[in-house]
Amino acid sequence: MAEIALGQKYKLLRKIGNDVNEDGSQADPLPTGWVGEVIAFSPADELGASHHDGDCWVLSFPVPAIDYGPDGQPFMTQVSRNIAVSAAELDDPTTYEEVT
Amino acid sequence: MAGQFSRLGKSRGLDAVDGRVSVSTYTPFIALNSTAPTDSTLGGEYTATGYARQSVAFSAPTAADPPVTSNSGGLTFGPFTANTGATLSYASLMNAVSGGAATTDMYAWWTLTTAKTPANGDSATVAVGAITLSYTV
Repeated sequence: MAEIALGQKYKLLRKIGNDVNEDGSQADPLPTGWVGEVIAFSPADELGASHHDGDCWVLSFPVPAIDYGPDGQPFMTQVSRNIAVSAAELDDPTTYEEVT
Repeated sequence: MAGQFSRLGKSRGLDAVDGRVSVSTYTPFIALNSTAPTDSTLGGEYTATGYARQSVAFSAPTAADPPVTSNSGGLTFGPFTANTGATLSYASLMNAVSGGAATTDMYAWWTLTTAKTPANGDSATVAVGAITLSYTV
């Protein structure tokens, strides 16, 4: 298993998540090709970025977004989208590829 | 949905106004909770695989009195890929992407307008302007 460190980047090799939520509301899957950066580690006994299987890493994907200035005018910005993943998931070659 | 300040959030507001200590900027995160926070205790945080707190930006307070601030960008949590089943009913404002305590790290909390029980692969979104904060006194 490759060593995981803060700042390490991973590329998604397959889409994760549903296109539409079970209740019919809009879903927002993570698309193939997105690159995320490891920004935090969350121990299993710590509240917060949680992973049912125990210790996890927080992978942050940069996402373009529209924001509005004080004058109400829109402008492009970037937000992050965080997911929690286990070391085993990051090591799954069908899902993630380490970016060097 | 209108939120309410935790005891820590109220104290931070007082400090900002009375100048007792300097109040610095920080990166705020929204956490989702299955059980209710209180002004002095954390709620039970959602724990499905894939869940993590999301960073949030707030707009400048409105010109109204009392002024209101709200999230200036949309948020997406998930997709949640395993161990779902709990219901998302509350949200809280935290100062870190993980960990923390109510007395030192939670500034406000909300009861979600619509509770949601995500299924495997679902995600949860928060629309722009949906999270609001305002003083009620």
